[in-house]
This record gives sequence, C-alpha cells and structure tokens, in this order.
Amino acid sequence: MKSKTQRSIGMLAATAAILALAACSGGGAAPDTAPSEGSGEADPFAPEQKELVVAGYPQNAFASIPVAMQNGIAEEYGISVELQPAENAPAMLAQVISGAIPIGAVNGFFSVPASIEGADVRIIGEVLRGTEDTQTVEVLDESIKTPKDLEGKRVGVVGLLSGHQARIETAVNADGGDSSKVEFVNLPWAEMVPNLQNDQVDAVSVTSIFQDAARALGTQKVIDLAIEPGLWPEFPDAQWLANGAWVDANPNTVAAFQCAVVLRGAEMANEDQEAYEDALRFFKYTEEGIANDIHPNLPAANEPATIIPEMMHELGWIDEEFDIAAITVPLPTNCDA
Amino acid sequence: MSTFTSPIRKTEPDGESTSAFATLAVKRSRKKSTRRRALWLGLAGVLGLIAILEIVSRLGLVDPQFLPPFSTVIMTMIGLFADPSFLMVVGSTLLTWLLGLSISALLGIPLGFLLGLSGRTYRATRTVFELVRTLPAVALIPLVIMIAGNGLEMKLIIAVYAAIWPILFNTIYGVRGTDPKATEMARSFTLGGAEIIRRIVLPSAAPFIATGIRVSSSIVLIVIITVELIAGGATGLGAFISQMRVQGDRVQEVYAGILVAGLLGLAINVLLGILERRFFSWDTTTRGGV
Amino acid sequence: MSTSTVAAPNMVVRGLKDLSIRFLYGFGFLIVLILVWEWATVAVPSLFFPPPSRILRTSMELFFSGSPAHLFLTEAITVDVAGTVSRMLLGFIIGSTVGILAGTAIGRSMILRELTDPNVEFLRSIPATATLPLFIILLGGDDGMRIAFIAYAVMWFVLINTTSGVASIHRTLIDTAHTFRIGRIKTLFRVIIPAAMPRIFAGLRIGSTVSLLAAIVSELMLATNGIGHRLILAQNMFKMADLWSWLVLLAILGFLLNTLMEVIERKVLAWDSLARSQE
Repeated sequence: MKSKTQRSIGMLAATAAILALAACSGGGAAPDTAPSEGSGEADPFAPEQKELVVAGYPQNAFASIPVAMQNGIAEEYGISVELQPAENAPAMLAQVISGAIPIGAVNGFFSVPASIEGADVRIIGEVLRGTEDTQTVEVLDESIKTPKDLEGKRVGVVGLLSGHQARIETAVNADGGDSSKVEFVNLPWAEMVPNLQNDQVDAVSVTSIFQDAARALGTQKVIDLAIEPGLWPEFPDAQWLANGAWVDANPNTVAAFQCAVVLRGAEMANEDQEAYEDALRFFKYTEEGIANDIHPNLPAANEPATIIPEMMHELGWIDEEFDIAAITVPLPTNCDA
Repeated sequence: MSTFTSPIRKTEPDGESTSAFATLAVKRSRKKSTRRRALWLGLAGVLGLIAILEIVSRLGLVDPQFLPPFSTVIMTMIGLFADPSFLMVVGSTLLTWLLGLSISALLGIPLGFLLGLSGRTYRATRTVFELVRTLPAVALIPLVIMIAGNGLEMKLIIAVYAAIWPILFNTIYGVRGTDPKATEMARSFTLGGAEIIRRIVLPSAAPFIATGIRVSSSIVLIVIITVELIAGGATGLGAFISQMRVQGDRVQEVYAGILVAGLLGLAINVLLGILERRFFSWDTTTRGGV
Repeated sequence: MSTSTVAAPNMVVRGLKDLSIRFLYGFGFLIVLILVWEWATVAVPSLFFPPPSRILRTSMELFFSGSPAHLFLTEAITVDVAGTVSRMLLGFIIGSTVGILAGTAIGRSMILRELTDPNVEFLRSIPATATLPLFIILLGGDDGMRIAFIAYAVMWFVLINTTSGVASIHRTLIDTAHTFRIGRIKTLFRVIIPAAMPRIFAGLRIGSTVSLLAAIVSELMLATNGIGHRLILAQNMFKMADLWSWLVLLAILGFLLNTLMEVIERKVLAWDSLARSQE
C-alpha cells in the first residue's frame, strides 16, 4: 500500500514532467510594446554591441557586408559584422524571433505574417531589389503565352505562399485570369528544370543558373518576377529583419549596422567594382563565376515595402491591411557625423 | 521500428512466447547441415537480388538514370566511405542518434517507474499519453523548426517525442509486472522502499526496459533521418540523401545513401539485439519480434 | 427475478458512480492540463504556444465553417483530411495485402524463408522514410507515388509478423488438416491464416500507425493537398494556431485509428477463438 502523499507526489512529478516536455525550449514571448519610432537620436558611432553575427547567404546580394568589413567602413562605426550562412527563410525567421541571432535576411512574405501573428520584428534595411530578367517564370508549352494561360496548370515554386507565388498569382489576376485555378507545387531549385522536362509541372519559377538551364531547353518567359511592367517596378526582394527587443535595447548598434552595411556598404558595392569583386572572392566565387556575375540591385535604402502586404491582402493571404512602415526603422541621417 | 507500436499488448507476450518456443523447437531439431543450408540459401538470395537489380538496370528495363546498376551503387558507396566529409555526415547522424536515445531513456525510465509504481497516477495520466502518443512525430517538424530552428535541438526534440513511448510503456509494464509476492517478502525482511525498488523491481523490470530501449533505438534513427530529409539544411545522412536527390544527376548517391541508412539500421538492430540477449537471455518472453 | 428488480436502482447508482470515477480518471488529468495550459498562456502570452481556447476557435473556423450544403465542413476536411485519409487507407490496404500474401508464402516454405531472410532483414532495416526520394525519382510527385510509398512502409511490418506467425504454427495442426483431407487452399484460409491471426494483427496494428506517419511524410514533399501540405502552409504563413489545430486533429485521427484497429482486432480474434473452440 502506498501512502497518499506518495501518490500525490507522483502525480505532481508526472505533471511537472509533462509540462516540461510540452514547454520544451520555451518560445519567444509575445510583444506588447509598439515598435519605437525610428532611430533618429541613435548614435551610430557608439554601438552597444560591437560584434554582430547576422544570417544570410554567401552570395552577391550580400556583398555589402564584406565590402563594409574589407574597406574599413564597419570599423569607422566600431562594429564588426560576420555573415552566418543560413539554410532558408523560415529557419532565419525562427532564429530572429527567438533572439538566437539579432538580424537575418527575411523577405516580407515571411515577416508580415509573423508580425501579424504577434512576433516583434523590425525591418532595418533593404538587401535586394529586382533586376530585369533575373527571376522569371519559364514554360516549354508554346500554348502558354501570357500569365492568364497558367490557369489549370501546375507551376513549380520554391516555397508555397512565397513571394514568387504571390507575384505569379498577381500577374495571372492582372491578366484577367483566376489565380486560384493555378496549382502550385513546392520544388527545390535543382528540381525545377528536371520536373519541367518530365512534364510533372507546366511552368517553373527560376533564377540564375536554373534559369540558364531552363532556357537551354528552349523555354519562354511568361512573367518577369523582378520587374513586371505596369505591375511592379524593382520588386523589394529581401530585407534585413531584426528582433524587436534587441532593436530597442541596441539602437546605436542598429544605426551603426544601417550606416555601415545598408547604406555605405551597398553604395560602395554599387560604385566600386573592385571592392565588389573582392567581396565575391570572400564568398569563394571562382574567377569564372565573377566574370558571369550579374551585378545585383543593391538599394542602399530602407523604403517600406508596402507592395508586399498589399499584394498579400489582395490575394486573401492576410485578412487585414498591414502597415509595414510601422515596423520599418528608417535609416539614420547622421552617418557622416 | 515497432515504434509506433503501442506498449506491450496483452496479446503480444503470448504470441511471442509461442513463436519463441517454436523457433527454439525448430532450432533444436535442426542439424548442422540444415544450418549450413540456410547460410548458403541466404547468400544465394542476396546474390540473386543483386543480380536482378543489376540486370534490370543493364538491360534498360528501368531507365538506368533512375535505377543505376547495383555495382555502380556499391562502388559509389565505397567511394563515399573513403570521403572524410561523408564520414562526418554519418558521424553526425550517429551522434544525434546516441543523444536522442540517451535522452529518451533518461526521461522515459524514471517516468515509467513513477507511473508503474503508482497505479492511480498511471490511470489518471493514461488518456493524455494515449492522445499525445498517437500524433505522428514528423508532423511536429514545422512547429519545432519555428521554435528551435533546424539544428540539433530540433532533431532531438522530435526524436525524443517519438522514441520515449516504447521505453516509457515497457518500463511501466515491467514495473507493474513485478511479482507482488517477492515485494511482500522483501517488505517482511524490512527492506525499505528504495531497497525494494533497487533489489526487486529493477531486476525484474530490466528485461522489459531493455526491449523498450531496443525498439526506441530504431525509432530514433528513423526519426532523425526523416527530419534531416525534410528539414533540408540540417546536416546528416538524411540531409545528404535529400541534397543528392535535389541535384538530379546524383541518383547513385541517393541509392548509396539509402543503403548506408539500411546498414546503420541493421547494425543498430543487431548490436542491441546481441546486448539484450547477452544480458537478459534468461527471459525469452520479452524478446520482441518486429 | 424479483431480487434483480430490487437491486436495480442500487446498481444504477453504483454504475453512475463507477462511470464518474472512470471519467475522472480518464479525462480529469487531461482537463487539468488544458486548464493549466490555458492559464499559463494567458498569463504569459507566447507566440508559439497559443491558449487552448484560441486553438479551439481556430479549429472550428478551420474545419467546421463550411457551407451547410457540405455539412459545414470546410475544404480543409473535404479535400485535405479526406485526401490524406484516403491515400493512407489505400496504401494500408495494398501494403498489408502484399505483406500477408508474401508473409504467408515465406512462412510456409522453409526454403523460401532461408532464401529471403537476409534480404528481408536488410530491407526492413532501411528507414522507410529514407526511401521517399527514391519513390519520387521513380514514380514522380503525384498521388500514385504517395500510395505506393505508404504501402511499402506498411508492408514490412505485416510481412515480418505474418511470416513469424505462419512459421510458428505447430506442424500437428497442419498434419491434422491433411489427415482430414482438407484441400490446400482451404487449409490455408481455414487453418493457417486464422492460426497466425494474432501475429498478423500485431503487424497490422503497427502498420496502421506507420501508414498515417508515411502519409504525412509523403505530403511534406511535392504535395498540393493533404494534412502534411497544410502543415507546411501554416508554417509558411506563421499561423501557429492553425498549426496547433492541425496537430490536435492529427492526434485525434491517430487515436481513432488506433481504437478502430483494436475493435477490429478484438472482433476478428474473438470470432477466431470461437471458431476454433467449436471445431
């Protein structure tokens, strides 16, 4: 016979164990605080945190970081920035929200829903905008001539409900079609062209070498995802997303990052070809890769990417209108002080 | 991968004991020559399968682009084993496996003792466990990725979630199955509660716990490889297979990776089977099939 | 007769008491847990752990806000859940049929058993999910591939259990059937398979759980509908409450599947032992 106390202790311990299991690794607390307005008063020359690890991809779009590091720009503001290669946007988003990393390159199609769901995140800079003909929807079937013809077809995209899918749907609707009749299939980059070839999909959304591979088969472009005349000019492709609590605690570091990487790093990468190519070498590009590289559109700005929530709202992906400017931290004006 | 099995069911030990008895009887009646025959036949079966795979591919019955000749796959596998970076990949999966199994055991055994010793606690918590247990662990991947990122932590959470049940339930059954007479007798010798657990309950529950650990060990492997396969970026054998598939022209590496996964599974099965038999050979009824 | 009528009210009271105790034991802890969760997540809001009340609201909207013509079921149920369940059932049926047939053949023939033993041992050691890329390479990305994959994953468990069940049938049972001049096929269906039924069911039970798991895994890649597909969508849109709703639905689905298998097993095995006792 066991005593009552023994039993209740057992009960308690079991409860605790289950709760511990359920709460495994906790989770970020939801924010109550409204985003702070700008960083006008922040001093970019007095960062609270001097060493920054940010997540992104070692690709040309991120050249601003090595450019800022290799040419003493980051040093001027007293920071050093290290790019930690990321796996994908959801992983980066999770790391930013949990505070595991302060800053990551996450596009608005991920950050807007997260923000609506209550994650405290801020957009502190633009990474990349579209360059004509770099991201396209390609087809083999000659009967598909305009976006509307994609109705009833299967389209391969990287990531469902992604920015690619949003732009394809918007283009189909603008062309008088019904985007809900397009069937989207999630495919990794490298499987786009093989699946197009095997007729598993009718169209693929591709960039860079995968676009080359598709065109080598004789495909045609149906939609330009980067610059679609009349629908969107240079599309805001990627932004630096930061953890809200971290931004509030480190306004000067944010300003320093904005001055060094977002503004001056991007400017120099755009203007100084030699510095830009050195950055690519830092990313282990081969000389051949550098020769074939198309210079990306690095904006040196942080304009609120209003087109993203508008597009998502239009497509019914989000229920409410979302003011993306409210989570966008403007660039400092005192970078030269 | 009896994994997803429910705890030991009442029907199972019976079925098990008859089959164990039958195999025992068969084994005893077998002569040396028949055992040798089994060896040769088994070898013939393996070679036959390999030959079929090779021929089907060589004759082009299945496009070799999709099913490369078996010899190519084997050569690829040997080549992979000579590659230190591939060994790191396998090592990473094995390390995660070891961690996942250890955590499952460290959580499952004490919890199992607790629930096994207190019938009421067990009855009270059962519904929750039954509900939580039936949720396929892989469905947690999207949630856990968002909470914990896609590194080691995420793999371990999902692996432990899937693998804790056989250990937990086997421990419960083992503890509850302790002969009450033995416990009573121990009590009459004025052994304290802790002593009884250590001297009587633990030894009698140990074979069950060992079975739970063996079953869990294959679940941990399966779950880890699945998570690596699906969560993409994470390192490990699953990620390797996924990356090779994605490259399109590396089909033989995909096959080789799957073969290595099978070898790992087999090695883990055999190793833990041997350990279990070595330590608990006197209790054949607890040895699980499947 | 008269005694029983007198005892009836008493028994009803006792029955009710029994039932309420059983209910308390069955669901008390679950309810407490849900209340604690609710209280904790309201007190300390967490992005990743929405309160149960919110999950419930989201579930109602997600699953039961459809048009009356569809019995208020949404597309999430009529397309995604139905898609997953139908593929799972089809895969399960195909896989277990193949498993039982092959397992019986292997179990019956010593030579076949010895011939296939190492192959089976190795092939079943391959984590089934690791073969998904192969199914995609060989069969493409549509439903046929998914069903084949589920069937493959289920087959091994049924096959191994059937083999061991059939192989362990006592010789005398089969010899008796021969003595009574019962035909081979009749012996197979009337003697051998029923005798192996408990083991076959052990395999089917694991197989049913595996079929749900394999169905979900197969939908995490290249799918256009299904529960796994919806999980990915919820992840991409950061809809935590949706994700939790799907997980709760899956747990209930798994629970129902388990219970269903148990009921079938009890029915079949009861009939089986009854039949045997009459023989």
